[in-house]
Amino acid sequence: MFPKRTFLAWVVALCLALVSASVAVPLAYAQEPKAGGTIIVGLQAEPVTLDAPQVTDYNTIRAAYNLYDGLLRFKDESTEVEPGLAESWEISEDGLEYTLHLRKGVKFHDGTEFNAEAVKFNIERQIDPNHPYHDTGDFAYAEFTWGAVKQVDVVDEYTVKITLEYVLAPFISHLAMHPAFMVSPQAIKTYGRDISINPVGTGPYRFVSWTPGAEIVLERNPDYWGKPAYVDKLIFRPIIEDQARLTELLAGGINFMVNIPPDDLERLRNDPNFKVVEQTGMHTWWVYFNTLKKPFDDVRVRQALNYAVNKQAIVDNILKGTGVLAINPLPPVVWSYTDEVERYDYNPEKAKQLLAEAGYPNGFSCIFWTPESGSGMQQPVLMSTAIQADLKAVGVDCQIKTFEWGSFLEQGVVPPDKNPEWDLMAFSWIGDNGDPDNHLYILLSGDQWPPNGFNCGYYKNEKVDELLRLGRTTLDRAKRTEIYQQAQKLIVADAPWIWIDHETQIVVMDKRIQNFKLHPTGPFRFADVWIEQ
Amino acid sequence: MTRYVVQRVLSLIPVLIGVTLLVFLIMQLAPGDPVKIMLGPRASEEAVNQLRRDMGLDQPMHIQYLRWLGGVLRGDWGRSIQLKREVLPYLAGRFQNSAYLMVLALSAACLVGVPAGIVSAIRQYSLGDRVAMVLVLVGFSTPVFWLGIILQIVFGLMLGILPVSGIQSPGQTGTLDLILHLILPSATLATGPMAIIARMTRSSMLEVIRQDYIRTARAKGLRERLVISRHGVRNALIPVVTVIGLQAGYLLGGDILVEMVFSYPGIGLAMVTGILARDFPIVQGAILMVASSYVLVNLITDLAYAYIDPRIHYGT
Amino acid sequence: MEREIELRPGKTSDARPVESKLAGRPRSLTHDALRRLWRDRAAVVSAAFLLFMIIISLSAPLIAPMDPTVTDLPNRLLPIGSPGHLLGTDELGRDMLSRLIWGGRVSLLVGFIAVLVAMSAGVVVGLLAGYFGGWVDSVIMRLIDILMAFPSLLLAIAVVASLGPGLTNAMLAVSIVGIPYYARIVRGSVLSLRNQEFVQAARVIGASDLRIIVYHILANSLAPLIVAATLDVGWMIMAAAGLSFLGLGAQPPTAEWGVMLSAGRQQIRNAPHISILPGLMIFLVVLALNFLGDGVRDAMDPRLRQ
Repeated sequence: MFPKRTFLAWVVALCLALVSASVAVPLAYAQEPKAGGTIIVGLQAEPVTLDAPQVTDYNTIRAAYNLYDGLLRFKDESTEVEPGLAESWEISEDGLEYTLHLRKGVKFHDGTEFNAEAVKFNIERQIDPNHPYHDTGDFAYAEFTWGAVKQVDVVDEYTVKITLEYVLAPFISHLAMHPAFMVSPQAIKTYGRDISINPVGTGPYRFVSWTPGAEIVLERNPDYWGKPAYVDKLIFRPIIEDQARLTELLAGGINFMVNIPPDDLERLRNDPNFKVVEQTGMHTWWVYFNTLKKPFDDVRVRQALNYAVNKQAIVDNILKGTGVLAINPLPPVVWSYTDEVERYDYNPEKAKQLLAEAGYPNGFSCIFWTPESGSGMQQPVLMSTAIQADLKAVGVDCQIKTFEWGSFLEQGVVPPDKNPEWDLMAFSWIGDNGDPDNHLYILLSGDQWPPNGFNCGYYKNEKVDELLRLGRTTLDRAKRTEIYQQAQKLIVADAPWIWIDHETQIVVMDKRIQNFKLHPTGPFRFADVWIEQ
Repeated sequence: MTRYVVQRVLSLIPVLIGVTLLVFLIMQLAPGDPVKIMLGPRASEEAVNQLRRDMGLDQPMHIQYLRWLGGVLRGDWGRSIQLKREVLPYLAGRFQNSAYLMVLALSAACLVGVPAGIVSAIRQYSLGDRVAMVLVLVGFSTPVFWLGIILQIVFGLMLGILPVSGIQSPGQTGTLDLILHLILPSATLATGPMAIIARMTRSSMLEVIRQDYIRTARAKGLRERLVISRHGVRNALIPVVTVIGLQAGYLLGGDILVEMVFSYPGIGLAMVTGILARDFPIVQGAILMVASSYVLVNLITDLAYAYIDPRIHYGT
Repeated sequence: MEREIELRPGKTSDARPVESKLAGRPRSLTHDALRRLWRDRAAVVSAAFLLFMIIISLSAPLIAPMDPTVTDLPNRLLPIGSPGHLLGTDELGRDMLSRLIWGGRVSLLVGFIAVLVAMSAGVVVGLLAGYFGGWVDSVIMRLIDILMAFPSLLLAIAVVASLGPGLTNAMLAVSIVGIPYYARIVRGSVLSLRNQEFVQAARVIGASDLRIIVYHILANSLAPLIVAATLDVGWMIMAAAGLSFLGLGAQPPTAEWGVMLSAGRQQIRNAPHISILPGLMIFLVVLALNFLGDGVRDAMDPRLRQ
């Protein structure tokens, strides 16, 4: 009964939208930013901590982000860095010493001063096991972010020097990542491990309350060192079921929503009460081949399976435009991306021919692992089932085994001597810092077989390995671009994965929310956002 | 009587230890490392090992369990691996939320189920009996998660009169707001117990109205209404009390599916997320809380039973 | 075979008069019960519907119009009555009718097997506890108490979490959850039968424990077990659907009503039929099982009749 009624409602709404859009557009631009209002964000799960250095997932950083400032920050809609709490910086000739000049007069929310000591405290808290406050948290990202750091020195009250063990080209981007968000040392001393639920940063919003399972409330920090935020309050609500979250959005229980079910996106785009903000993220979704196992050690088989899967149909019909077709493991938003690589457009005939050449004219059977859900996995079961059906059409009969995320990682991402059961495994990756190294090296270098990294299919090509090693120790951007482009061509020709898509980050919000910009690294910045009255 | 109660309470202890031990063993057998899940794929080996040491997860299994048990006895339920907070206050809040839901759902189930059962029994095989029994079965036979989604769309979206998820409106803490949030999940949750209670009432009532004392009462010339209300219902309700007690025990465990559909922060949801994250302290704490409340409610039911039914005496 | 003969009143030997009298009862009871059941229209219609569903499920390979796993992405979410797809298509363009038919096969199988496993285990445990009493009873009943104190779905989730998702494991998990239910029923009837004259008589004439348990006690506990099992199949189907909702049930591309229902909930606004249809099937089957179970119970317990 209700589909009909809603359909009528949509028709009416659409007409209204067209009329009002033509009238409203000039007015919208006349608006000046205004202070006030509340943004209620519907998240898909409860955040686990508000202590930025301890964050490991997107859902959590979205709630924690606005409490803090990083030493540097990523520019809007970009992965280039710009000044944050550090006003300026110098890198020594040899690439080992980073001198940061800190902003003066910045105060943490508890009134204590931000200075060079605080920077030293924050970094050492994460990496030094003997630091008196090291046990106040679990720092999963410390190794990745600060692994190259040899020491941190306070030069004067507002100057700090970070010395590296070895040259690491992407390190400058690490200074804008969440482990480089500054937490009040005084608060860490006061709360100990409970800093996790009593966060104190320098950011445009400060912590008010956290009712577990119900809401996290932040309020505007009136003493912010920069331009104060416009919106009075930010509230984050965990709403697990996608359809329930959508119902809350439509009913007004939230006015900002993540994880829109792809099939409902079209209707929200047409709804005059909402607007959709999107940006291609630093994300790739793919299927690993276990390249150590027969027949996937044969490049023809890997190419055949790439031809066999109708990736475009998955993007168009299942993802409904919430992802873009991937032709390369590197997402297009990451610098050095090239589309001058071998293409594997849908071609089941060619797939069969390649399989026959490789000695499998009648196909074979294999085991395909996929997680039930997981950060960045989009619609893993649906997508995997579609891939399974496409492979069956060329004679490759795979049996899907689903796992919950925890046991999936535990059993799927293992060193080669553990001899995993899977032949194919669905996976995804979201870049942390916008550097190509963060995709190519960690996912495809022969040095990064688990447990070192995430080259879970044990792909190895000496030439590629050499290029990727060179890339991360070269400081010159132009040279690095050339190196990475060459690597991409080699990798794609080897077809170590079936890459499917790059997810488009999408949020839907009340149309009165203005000036919200998505960021490729995922968090939500509300400092410049205002609500039209 | 006192001795009986003490004895019963003491006999609960091995059950509770058994329950926590069982869940501990199952969780240990389950693949998936809580530390790796919590720290995420990018954590270094060093960070993983350190957290494992911090949480005592590097100890042999029996030491881990005994440590946990010792902590519980001292009132220290440990810290959640995933949520980075004290287990006891966290779970206490969750448990309270589930209790709200239980009270409302069970009240609704009783208010509808008991009268429906009585009326059905008095007019056995009438149209009313048939319709009532079919209706309770309809509720009972609908998967709750699906019913929940339908209710959300109808009452939350189409009619727009009730909130569809969570436990409070943003920034509000009022009782009315709480009750509004409880309506849809408790209605969904009530369908099962309602059917069980109605059916139990009906069959118990059918049995009672065939008893001699009812016949006697009728023979005395008592009006039918009085016969039913004074002699029938009172006796028929005795077994129903047991069923209600059992249901209360079950519902206190928090209905996982309903809490999930409504993103209701109850203990059932806490347990599921705990299991998926292999967060032992949360899962064991929650199980201990739920199982204790279950056995305690059962004990109370038994005592209430003895109180209502004068034929039962606890001599031992 | 022997049991058949023993249960016939006319053929039992005179040497066991007590047993023959009581052992004969189930026969006439069954006969009467069937007659009474036949008069219960709701139960008869339910039984016919269930029989129909079982036939459909058994002949799925013959009657399903299409392969339930073949996807057709451009033609996904077609509505009911689309050409070539009588009941439309699901979120991957698979034929709904075919999936419902094949899904019924799986769902019914899960329900019946889970009940069978739970009942077998429960019967053994309950018989042991009830018949031997003493410490055997105490130990078994404490274990049963422990299982009962678990929230049922949670226990199933924990079991699946350790065994890994999949149909067999989900079935096993809901079976384990069901064991206490049967164990308590059987133990209860054993306790009431254990000291009755015909059992004592059998013991006196030297019958073995096993013989007494199987021929005398179990045979006489069957009625409540059958009633419980009929009602329980529906519960098992729903529990398995619940596990599917949590992603712990049947693996893709297997069609199973619970999986279809829970996957379809994401499309509740765009294509409500893909969740309503499997939901309706679960609902009808569970409803029919309940009516049948009620009918059987009423038929076997004449006191509830007017």
